[in-house]
Amino acid sequence: MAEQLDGLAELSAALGALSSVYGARGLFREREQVALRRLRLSQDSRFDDVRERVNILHQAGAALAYVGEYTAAMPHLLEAERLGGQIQAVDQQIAALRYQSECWYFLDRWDRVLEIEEKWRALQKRYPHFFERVGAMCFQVSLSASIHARRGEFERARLLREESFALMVAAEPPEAWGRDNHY
Amino acid sequence: MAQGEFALVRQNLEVALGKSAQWVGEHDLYALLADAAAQQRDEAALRQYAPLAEAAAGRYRHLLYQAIAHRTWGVAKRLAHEYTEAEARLNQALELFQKLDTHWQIGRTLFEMGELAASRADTPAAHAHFQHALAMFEDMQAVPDAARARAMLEGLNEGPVDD
Repeated sequence: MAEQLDGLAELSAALGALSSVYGARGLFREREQVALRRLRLSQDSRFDDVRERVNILHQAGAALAYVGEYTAAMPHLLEAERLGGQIQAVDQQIAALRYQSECWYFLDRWDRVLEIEEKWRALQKRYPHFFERVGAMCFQVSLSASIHARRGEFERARLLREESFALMVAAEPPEAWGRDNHY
Repeated sequence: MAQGEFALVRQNLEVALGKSAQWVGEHDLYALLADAAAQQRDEAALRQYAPLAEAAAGRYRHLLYQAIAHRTWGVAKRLAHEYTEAEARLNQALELFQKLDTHWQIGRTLFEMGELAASRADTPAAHAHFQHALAMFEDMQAVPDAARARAMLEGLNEGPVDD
């Protein structure tokens, strides 16, 4: 059905919806292919919505990351961060940083994860109502906690673990938690 | 990870299994459950989660989780005294982790290879694996794992290692 649509924006939106359906069904490799197709679409010179382009880039990176293609995800996520900064869309910058930190974590590049923590905490200082704009950063804080624990820095790990839990509870009551929260 | 902490990890992940998937799939959960079972040397949990982790990782062609599943099987086979199968699995895990260049995972796999060699009373091989694992952990500043590797090396110098 999406292919019958003429407009790039409409086709992109339809592919985005299809991607969500694949995600909800746990069809992560199929979602990866749709995300990459959408990415190619966004590279068309007629596609002039930069904000949507950033969104597509970070979704492509995320779709790749979820099937373990961390290295392949990274260029898209870096580009999403760069463009997000260029248009001063802090929510999109943060979305890209979230997945970058996840990729580096699974690639055992712990220093990179901690560098990204410094980046987003700097953005947090710069933007008022940061968490309202970008959502809770509980998962990223928990990644840092895990790294400090793996390095034997248990007190720092404990403080971050508590911060992560507090952020998660503040964002949603435990009875409303989904799979992501328990993970 | 202490026994109580593993129980907490398992409890949370098993609750997560019952929730709908969007960005966290069953492959994520089974890989973690199997890996935690391997770290705890929990044979019942290994029997439960290693096959599920392997099937899910294979379904998504997820290399990191395939490697974790191989290592999990390697631990399970060593605990069952099936040393040839254990060695094959750990070699497969190491090959994948090296392809991914994931240094902490490589160190953990070398540590398991050291455990296997020690179980076979092959002290020179065990020493080489633990020494190599220690170098990886020190490079990562993974202090608790480095301490474990050092303790195993000291144990080798003192006498036979028990499971």
